[in-house]
Amino acid sequence: MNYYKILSWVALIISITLLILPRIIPICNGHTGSGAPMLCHYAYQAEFIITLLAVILSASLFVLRTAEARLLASFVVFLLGIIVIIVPQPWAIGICENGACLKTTFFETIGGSILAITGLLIALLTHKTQSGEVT
Amino acid sequence: MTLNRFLVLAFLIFSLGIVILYSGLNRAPLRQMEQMDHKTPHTPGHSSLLINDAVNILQRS
Repeated sequence: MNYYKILSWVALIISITLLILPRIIPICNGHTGSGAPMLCHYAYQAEFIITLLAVILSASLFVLRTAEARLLASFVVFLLGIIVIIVPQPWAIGICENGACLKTTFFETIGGSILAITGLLIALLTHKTQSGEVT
Repeated sequence: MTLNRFLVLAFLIFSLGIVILYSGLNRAPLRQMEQMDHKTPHTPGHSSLLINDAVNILQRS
């Protein structure tokens, strides 16, 4: 098994873990004073859609054959990893100040960082392989 | 697996994910107890309290 396959498996496993993370480490599930769900609810609904896309793109790395397509898919996985980190930030959607979602966000940030690094490594590896083939 | 088959499968997984998101299976259920909600003393809280107040006023009159 080459490095590309190993890194693709890592990206897929991390994406699936991020997808189910709010079930493993739940966010706070109370309401605000007005009866609406809190910010963390909306942040993690957005996280779910983003990580769902990350799962599909990570899985596509096993199907794609050309270097350009692999490069594009891995680059988008890298960007999605960054978005996963950004969404819970207060200047994006945000989470509540002292709830259980702080713990979830801690692990979500670690997972997002690993996903972004993995995507970047796959992109660099593919680019290197492509350059080697051209020259 | 061919790319076309993968795209069909990816769309099915995406649709399944949206259904899961809609049904709320991706998260812990929201609390139903009003006492556990984040409220300040000056906010009216859940709308059912307003309904209870209205019922009380009607019963008094």
